[in-house]
Amino acid sequence: MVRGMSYRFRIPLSLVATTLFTALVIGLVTIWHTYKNVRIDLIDNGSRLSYALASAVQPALMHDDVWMAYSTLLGPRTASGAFNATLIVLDSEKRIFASSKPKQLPVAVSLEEVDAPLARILDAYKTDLPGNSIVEMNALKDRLLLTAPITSDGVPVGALLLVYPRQVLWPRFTSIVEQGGLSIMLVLAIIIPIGWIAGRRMVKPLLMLASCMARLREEDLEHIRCAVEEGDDEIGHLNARFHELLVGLREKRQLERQMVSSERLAAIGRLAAGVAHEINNPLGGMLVAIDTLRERGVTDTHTERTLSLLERGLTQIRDTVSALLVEAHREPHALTVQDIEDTRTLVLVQADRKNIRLEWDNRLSDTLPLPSTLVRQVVINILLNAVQFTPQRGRVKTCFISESGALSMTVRNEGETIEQKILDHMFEPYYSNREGGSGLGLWVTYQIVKRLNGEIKVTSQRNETCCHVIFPFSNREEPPDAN
Amino acid sequence: MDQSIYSSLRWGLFWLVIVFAACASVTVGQAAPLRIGLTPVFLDDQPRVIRAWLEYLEQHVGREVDFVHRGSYREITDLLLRGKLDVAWVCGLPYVERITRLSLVAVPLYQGAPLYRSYLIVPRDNTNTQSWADLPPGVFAFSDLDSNSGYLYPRWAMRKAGIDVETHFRKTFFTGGHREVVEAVAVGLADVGAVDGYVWETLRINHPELTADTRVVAQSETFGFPPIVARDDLPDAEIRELRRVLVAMPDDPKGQWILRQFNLDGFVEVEPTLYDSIAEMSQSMGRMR
Repeated sequence: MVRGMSYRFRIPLSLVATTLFTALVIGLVTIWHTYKNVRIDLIDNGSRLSYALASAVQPALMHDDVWMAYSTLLGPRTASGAFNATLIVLDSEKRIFASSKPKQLPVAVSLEEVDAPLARILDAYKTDLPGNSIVEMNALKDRLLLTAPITSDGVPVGALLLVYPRQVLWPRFTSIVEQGGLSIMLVLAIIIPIGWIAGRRMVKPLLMLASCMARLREEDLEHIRCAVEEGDDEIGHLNARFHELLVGLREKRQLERQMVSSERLAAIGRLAAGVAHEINNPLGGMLVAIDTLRERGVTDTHTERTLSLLERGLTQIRDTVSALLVEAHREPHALTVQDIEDTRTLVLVQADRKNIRLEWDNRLSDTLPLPSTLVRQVVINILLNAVQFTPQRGRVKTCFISESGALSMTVRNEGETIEQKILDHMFEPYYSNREGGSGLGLWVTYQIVKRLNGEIKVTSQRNETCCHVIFPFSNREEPPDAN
Repeated sequence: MDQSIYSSLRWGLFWLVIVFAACASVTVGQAAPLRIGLTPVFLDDQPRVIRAWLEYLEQHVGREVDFVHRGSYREITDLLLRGKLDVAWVCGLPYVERITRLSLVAVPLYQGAPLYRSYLIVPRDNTNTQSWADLPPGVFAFSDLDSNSGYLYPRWAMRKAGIDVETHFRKTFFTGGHREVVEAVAVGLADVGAVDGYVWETLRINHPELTADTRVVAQSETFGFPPIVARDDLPDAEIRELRRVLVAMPDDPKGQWILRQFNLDGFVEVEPTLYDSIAEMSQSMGRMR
């Protein structure tokens, strides 16, 4: 039962059970001690009383004054109403001289006749009279016996017997136990709720972690937050490991998404290149045919108009196809600082139109071994895109830096947060999010970056979109020819 | 100024009262106090009534009175004979045994006569004993060696019934008083007891719980009630004066109240012959020659 029980109950219950067990043990030990002490007290008081009575009753015994002896024995009975011991004065013949209960223990009768068990105990002490005191707690089944000698000039002349009913212990004992039990109950009434609450508090972080882990399977990793307080204990460590696990899982899922995205883009790229090739070959033939026809001399204006129409159409097809096909031309020159600054001039026109502030941070100082035309195309595309998505009077921040063998470019722009779903597909052709775009700008940008073995990453949160591009140049492979 | 005159006047008055009081007490104390011995022939355990009786006697006799209590009849009788007491309320037995040295002052009237009886009592749960003849062979409680009802008469009655006290009973003891005999029988300390009938009847009124546990088996013929006696050398005038005061008690409301508390009707002067029957018994028991 305990095995399957939730820690939510198991630990508080354990605390409560421990408290109860402790209280029980303390209670039992106290009861045992109380019983012992009550017994010791009883014997102590009883023997003091029997000695006092023995000396008080001595003159009466010496003068054969039964009434005086009886009156003396009545003393303690009248002094305390609860006194329930039987008192007996024995003479030297072990006959009852007087007793506090004369009807049961009549005067001048041998003790043997009226109370044989008591007489046997006295006999067991093997003296004619108990010259010394006797404390007998065990031999009598239901009574406790205390005796004191009555002496005259040092010689025993009689004995005083004090007989308690065994139950005499009980009322004192129960009253003490009742009080003790009440105190323990009171303490328990305070401690048990505290123990329960403390147990619940102890278990709380564990339960939170468990529920967070249960959510791993069902919920989006991004939404899982585990508000467990950090600590240096085992649960704190567990929590730290869990968060590491969570971060790892998130990164893994991000990576998977990126891989899917780039594989898709690569497939589209291969398809586009294939289609472009298939179109380009006949297209080239058709354009050559139009030129040949013209060289032959076309007089007919109607034919000339038709030829122009065909040429314009075919040229448009070629332009479109060549836009799909990112071609790497042999670079006229490497990338200079001025190349980057030129892009600024070009974009400023667009930015000024929307009163957008363009913050420019160009930290390049040297010429970089990168194909200037392609890089410029990427930079312009990204900047124009950023300006496009920035609202009126918004802000665009640009930073160029060359570090660890790569040109790093970061463009941040204000504007509505872009959903993850759109970010996943934004580099695909014709996935444009805006009116009037060609649908190929970002596609081409992506293709160029990939061709240059670079990286491009777009993130968007809290009304800011950030695009980060890296062009490595240290051990860059020579881009393969488009054809 | 006014204040100090008033204050000294007050102090003057105060001293005047003190001086008068001192004179008055000297007047009362001029004669030696009348010393009266008391024995348990009556219920002497009522301090309030005894105090009232003392004050009553002082007021009417006109001199200081001292009450003297002792543990036994014998001690009181001895004190009286040695002149340490003037008067004593004793049993008829010590009176007749020393009749030549004691004078009768007065005898209480109980139920209209100066007479009383001795009662033979047993515990209530003893339903067998019906007479002196069938006394159980247990423990006998006497009141006092010098008591008629509590010792002489029962010894006499038992002898008449053919009971040998020394052998018939397991044990006999004296309690020193009649009330204690009733108690001893009630609690079962004694199986039989002899008691002053007047005391038993009075206890039945004042402490019915005690007498309820006892049963009266037999009543004796009447005897002269325990008298108040004086040592024979006490001046006659003093005896007469005390007798006058005692006999006049029923005429006074306070005296009446005291008598009612004692369960008595008054006091009367009697002839010594009233005690002849006790004297005869004493003689027959060999106490008096």
